[in-house]
Amino acid sequence: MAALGSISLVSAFVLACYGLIASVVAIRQKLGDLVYSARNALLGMFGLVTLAGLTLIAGFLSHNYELQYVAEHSSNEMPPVYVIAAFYSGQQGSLLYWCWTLAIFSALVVWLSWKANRALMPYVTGVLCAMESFFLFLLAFIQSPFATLPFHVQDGNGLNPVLQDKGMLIHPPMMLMGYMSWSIPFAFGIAALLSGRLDFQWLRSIRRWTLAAFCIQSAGLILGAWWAYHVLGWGGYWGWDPVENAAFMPWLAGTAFLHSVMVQERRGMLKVWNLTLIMLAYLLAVFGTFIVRSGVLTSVHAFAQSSIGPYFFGWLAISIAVSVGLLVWRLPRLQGDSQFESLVSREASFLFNNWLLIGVIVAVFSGTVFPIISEAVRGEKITVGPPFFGAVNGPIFLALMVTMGIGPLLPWRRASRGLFVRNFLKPLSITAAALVLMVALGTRNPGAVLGYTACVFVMATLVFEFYRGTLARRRVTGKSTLAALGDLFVHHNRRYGGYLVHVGLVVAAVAIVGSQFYQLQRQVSLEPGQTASIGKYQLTFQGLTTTKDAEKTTTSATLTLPDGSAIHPGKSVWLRDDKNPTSEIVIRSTPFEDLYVVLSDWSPDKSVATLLLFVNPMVTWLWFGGIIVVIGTFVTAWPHQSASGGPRTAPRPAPAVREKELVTA
Amino acid sequence: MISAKLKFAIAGLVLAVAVGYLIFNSVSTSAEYYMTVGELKAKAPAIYSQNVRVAGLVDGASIEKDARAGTLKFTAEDSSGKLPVVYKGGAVPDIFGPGIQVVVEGKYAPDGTFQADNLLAQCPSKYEDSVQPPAS
Repeated sequence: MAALGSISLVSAFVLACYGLIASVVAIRQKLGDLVYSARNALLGMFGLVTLAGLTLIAGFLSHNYELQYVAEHSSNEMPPVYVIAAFYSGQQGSLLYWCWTLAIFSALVVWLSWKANRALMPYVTGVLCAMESFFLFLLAFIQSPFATLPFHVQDGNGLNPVLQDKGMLIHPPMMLMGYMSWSIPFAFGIAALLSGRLDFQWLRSIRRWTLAAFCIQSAGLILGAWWAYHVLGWGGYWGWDPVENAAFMPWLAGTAFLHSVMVQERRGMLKVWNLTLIMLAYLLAVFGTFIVRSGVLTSVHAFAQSSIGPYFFGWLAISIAVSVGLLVWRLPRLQGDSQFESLVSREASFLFNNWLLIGVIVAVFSGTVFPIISEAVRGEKITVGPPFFGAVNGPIFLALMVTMGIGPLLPWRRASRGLFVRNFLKPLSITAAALVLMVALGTRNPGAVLGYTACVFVMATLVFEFYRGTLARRRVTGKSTLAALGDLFVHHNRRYGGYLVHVGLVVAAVAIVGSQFYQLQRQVSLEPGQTASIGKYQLTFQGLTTTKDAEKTTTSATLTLPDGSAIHPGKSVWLRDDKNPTSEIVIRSTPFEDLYVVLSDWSPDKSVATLLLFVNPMVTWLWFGGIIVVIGTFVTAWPHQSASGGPRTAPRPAPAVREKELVTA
Repeated sequence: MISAKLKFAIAGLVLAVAVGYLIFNSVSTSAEYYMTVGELKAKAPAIYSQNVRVAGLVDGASIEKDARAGTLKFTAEDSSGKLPVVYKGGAVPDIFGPGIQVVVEGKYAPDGTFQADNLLAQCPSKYEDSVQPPAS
């Protein structure tokens, strides 16, 4: 089994190298047959990596402890789903997972995008093979998941109990795939630069790939937040930890790209900028992997310092050098077709959105690497914590919300004063009314007032967009209001799917503002019969009970609420691994707030329990917002159905007319 | 009439300055020194007013929990010295215990104790656990 896995990886490495060389030769010598040979090498590589992946899964399922990786990460009595999840729980396995998903995406690229991009594909194939050869080199020669143990063991080490949670089944694979998926747009970008085919075609080809990356990474981030909130027991969902930041930055760059690319599509501007952004997304993904794996930064996430740090650093350096070099080389061919005319226009609002997103990236990046830089410059290691990120990003997020509200209502090129007033009078009136209402109701926290005002503004503009779109559609087609609204998603899915993503972000923002500014938190030590209160809740401690089952010993506190119901926060100590207890957190969710109770500690005689109590407002909205974002991305990525039926092939016809139609509706 | 280009340049500059100011300002208010126990002791008394982070291993014999008062006392040690820590912050990480690598955030007090208001534990990584040969 070890031999089969190792041989597949080495052969896959050879095929990837061949695919790279064949692509280069085919391009230089203009050999059409060799292009197909490179493509077949890529597909063969996909087959071999799949074989290696399945071999490792088989190794886990058959408890083959001859494999060191299997012995280190699984054990006999672990449930089968977690045995499979152990695949990506360690260094080698997660590298193989990354390599495998990239191979799957690469195969999909040559399968789905070949016809539409005949001229680009030899280059794309070469870049994808280069990327895969890097991972396969690491897997085959440096960090093999198929290394064997020199002795025989009866049982493996098992997986850390905190990882044996259903979140483990979906968050890490989603997150790793999110990182990986920025490779595809990057490969197209490099291919476009190399080939000199810098027209809009390559951007159109990667639209869905970029949306897929955005969607996967959004889901990964929100699942990570969900897992942290429901399992780790510190009352929050986001802690600006280096690992979280590393995952957030490529998402920001990709989000900026998805907006600015529309400016290039419409007006032929920002060509260099778009290439820079899509490269930045990939480079940040590699950078994230590097800092997480190299041990350069300390993080609460348990990644060991490992020998692959320098390799990732090397790969990052090569990727940066190639990206910058190609960009500079092709600069003369990347002149814009037109120029910005007014600060108050759609394209300008996209540009501001981009600048702000870059601002967030700069802030997050500098905060994350601050310890390294301060140590290098001043010889002192200085860290900045969550307050730094909150203080810097809060105002930028607020500005982003404002551009999110204004942008979609502005026309391309320039807005006339009359149009400006027409489009914004109603949303602004609603916003002003909401602001007055909030203050009248006693909201005094300036951050919360500004945040919620921005939420109302964006939501109001979105509702008006949907309203006007529906009316226009109803008038044109004569359908009912509801059918007309549905039509918007079917026939103008790009636009209204995007709006749906915005709706999701506003819903998430409501949760973030609420939990950021109105979280209640207290620690109490209670004897049986004593009552603690937090917010509107009163909790009476009844005592501690201990239960045992085959896997763990659980100590639970019984707390009763005035309505007679009881909650049982507890802590479990696992037989296999008594150093890693897990918290059994109690979360009582309501639409507007969560009561979150953690049993923190107890006295040896069990007469006193220490509890952490939180009231987290609006957190449920975060999960709904995340779901809406994912759905919206699907809608916007769905193959377009024009009103006359059939997929759209030509560029959007006469957009100005439609704009006018919507405005005057 | 100012050209559009100039307007955009000004807007970009304003934004860059604003972000730069935010970063600079927040660093100066939320920066924490990351020190070893030895460095911390060497910097007393100047360090008393400063928020710092210190990493160390928990000495198992030193752990004193007072569930009633909600305090946790222990000694953190590294190669450069020992530091008695008093923690009243609340959440104690699940894995806190003897021999665990912790990071404490707070202030060094004149009485020689470290008054921590945050306690972080580094997960003992599964990746570093090597499989031991079975005892014969």
